Amino acid sequence: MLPLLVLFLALAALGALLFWPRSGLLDRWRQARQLADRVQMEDALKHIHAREARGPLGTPESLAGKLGVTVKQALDLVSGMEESGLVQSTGRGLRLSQTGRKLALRVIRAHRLLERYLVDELRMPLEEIHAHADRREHAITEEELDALEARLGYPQEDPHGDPIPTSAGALEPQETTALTEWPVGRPARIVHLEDEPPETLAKIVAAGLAPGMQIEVRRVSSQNLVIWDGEEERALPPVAASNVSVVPLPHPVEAPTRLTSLRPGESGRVIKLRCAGFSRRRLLDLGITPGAVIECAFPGPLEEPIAYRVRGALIALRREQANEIEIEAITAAAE
Amino acid sequence: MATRTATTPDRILERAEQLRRGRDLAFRDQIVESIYADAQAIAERAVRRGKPAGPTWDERLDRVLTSRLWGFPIMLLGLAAIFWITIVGANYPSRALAFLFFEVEEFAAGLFASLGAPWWLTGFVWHGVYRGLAWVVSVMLPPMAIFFPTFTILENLGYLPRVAFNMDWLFKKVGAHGKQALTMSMGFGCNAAGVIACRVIDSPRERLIAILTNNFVPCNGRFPTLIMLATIFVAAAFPPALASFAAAGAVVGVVLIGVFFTLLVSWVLSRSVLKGEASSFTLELPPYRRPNIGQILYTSIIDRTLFVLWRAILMAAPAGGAIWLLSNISVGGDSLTGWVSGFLDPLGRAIGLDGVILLAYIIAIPANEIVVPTIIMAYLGAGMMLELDSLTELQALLVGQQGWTLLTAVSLMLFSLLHNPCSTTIWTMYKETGSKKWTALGALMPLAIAFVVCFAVAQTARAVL
Repeated sequence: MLPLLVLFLALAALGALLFWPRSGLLDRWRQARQLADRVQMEDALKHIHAREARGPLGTPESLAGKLGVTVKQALDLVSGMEESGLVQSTGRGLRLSQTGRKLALRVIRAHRLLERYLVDELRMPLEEIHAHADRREHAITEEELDALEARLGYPQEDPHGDPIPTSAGALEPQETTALTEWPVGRPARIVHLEDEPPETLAKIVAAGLAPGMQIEVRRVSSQNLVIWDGEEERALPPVAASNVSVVPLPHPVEAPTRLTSLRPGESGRVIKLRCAGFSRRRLLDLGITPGAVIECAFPGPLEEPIAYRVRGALIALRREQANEIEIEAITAAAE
Repeated sequence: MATRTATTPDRILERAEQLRRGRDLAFRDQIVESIYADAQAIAERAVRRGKPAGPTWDERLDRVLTSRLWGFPIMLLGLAAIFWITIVGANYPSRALAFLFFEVEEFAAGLFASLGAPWWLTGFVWHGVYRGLAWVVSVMLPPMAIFFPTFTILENLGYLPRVAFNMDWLFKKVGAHGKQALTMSMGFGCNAAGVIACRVIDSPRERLIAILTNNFVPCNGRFPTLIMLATIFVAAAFPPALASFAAAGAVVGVVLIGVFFTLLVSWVLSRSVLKGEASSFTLELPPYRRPNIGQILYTSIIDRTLFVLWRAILMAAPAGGAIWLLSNISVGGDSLTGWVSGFLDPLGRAIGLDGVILLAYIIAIPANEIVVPTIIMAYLGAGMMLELDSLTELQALLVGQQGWTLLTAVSLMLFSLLHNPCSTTIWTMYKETGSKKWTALGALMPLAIAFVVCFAVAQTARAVL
């Protein structure tokens, strides 16, 4: 009698473990599968959307390459998406339907808002955020996105310079030129750094380029583009430069005066802060607002940080922070 | 005159979207700017100030306290002075309290005996739990009551932010935050308080580094051990007039080793599990102020001393009971203390200590201050925690009978400095990080470092000598 009871209980426990609604192994496995399917579909939509905007239209073959699946799997995926009315196959490749575009833009919005958050609030390096955002973008809900957007102050561009779609799904395209196509000697403003592949982006970031910078191409050789930013020359291999997009600048490149150029005892007036997000809020809270007069007071015993006097308070900043503050010098006589 | 526009919710949302797009991210800036503009206008109307003829007092002080030549020597001297005051000043009150508490114990134990209570009840309650409490209070209260107010004076003067300012360059090089210097200073009082103080660091990565490395500054509970060792093994080599200075100097040396490990571990962390660049750093250097004595006494006595003491009492009572039980339960002719320390002895010897010291550190996980009394108790084979009346007797016991050498002292100092944080600190880490993973790292990493360092030191010393 007893062995039977034990057997029965064991079977019941095993059954519960497997089939319990929501937390049972079977249901968990099903949920994981569903998530994986959604991730794949959303990534496919992103790819087709990107190809619609630039380059030849996406095909099942390109999709297979992008997602790392076999062409047969990609074909199955495409026919599944066609059935749900998300994409249409045309003679030249895949096109998104109205619903498909809306879904794609939702994922892109999630991706770019997350990137903004990672850079502004967590201060992650630019070349690392793409991979993080790629993982997180599928799990975040619409409400969380809206809250995140409000918290970030409705940013319009991601940290690479790509526009962020609105919650209604609008995306304003921008007319840009690749830096490799840009004529030598004409002033330009960097609007976008391509985030894939991350190795190239790391090279661009290491060369000191960032969205919003004013630049001019000085010389071009087969190995390097020499770029001038008003202060110094920076070299970038053409393969990386093709991932930098620029727009024309209506005036010549202006070298910014930075707070770091002040010597102890000298003063300046803040023109603008180049940083965003958390560090920007911090500086503003301390009274370092555009228009404020700031005086270099004294350096620390190891030369860094440096204490600055602003609005009667003494505030120590590291070189990185001081570099993000643009000023105009004021002489003692003008005060 | 109302204009007739179709105002469906969709239209309104669309309009809002357009307006937001037009604002160019700057509305937050504008809010802050206008607040500051208002404040400035009010200040200009209401405050009149003349241009001072020369540099102000603050400027002169800053020039010295943060100068390339004097900045660091003044910091070290200040630290040494605080330790010296604490060591010298705490000595007598500590002894008086201990005397008082042990009188009470004897009286109470006698009372229990005359009422016919069984010996184990008297022993457990009075020689175990009560004596654990008494030891912790008498050892901890006087140093804390001196250390915390002295420290709060520096804080009130406005000197501590200057320490952070001076040290920031080092912390930047290891990928940490300059305010970590402030949280470390708090750690001298109590690591749990130091971990809580890490809230002042506003970027999460650097805050976590500060929390995980706070243990490397020795807290008040560990100072008695360090001071005892410094007195027996360092000060003994100096003439009596200089002894207290030599002891304070040795403690400063240990603290500097702790600072070195803080920087080293921060460096490793910010290149491994907590990868990232040093993030934004802003530090306000407030004007120097005359310390407000009433406020200092209040904050340092109520908020810090009593808080830390209370939690030590909560931890020490059960630990005292445990020690009594371990020493009074015999299995096969030897007490449990004997068995466990015998078992731990090979491990202890390998890192320059012995089994008794390791056992003491296991028992002292709740409160580091009971390490030394536990060691003495186990050595003497006595059934309860003891304090020897004079350091000479202690020296005779440790050096003469138990064969402690300079290596034992150095290893014990290093182990005391580097080993795992006490259970309160671990619990505080958990509350501050909300993560079991980081808490486990914060507890086990120092322990591993302590073993590795002590092992290396012991083996090197034995190979060389």
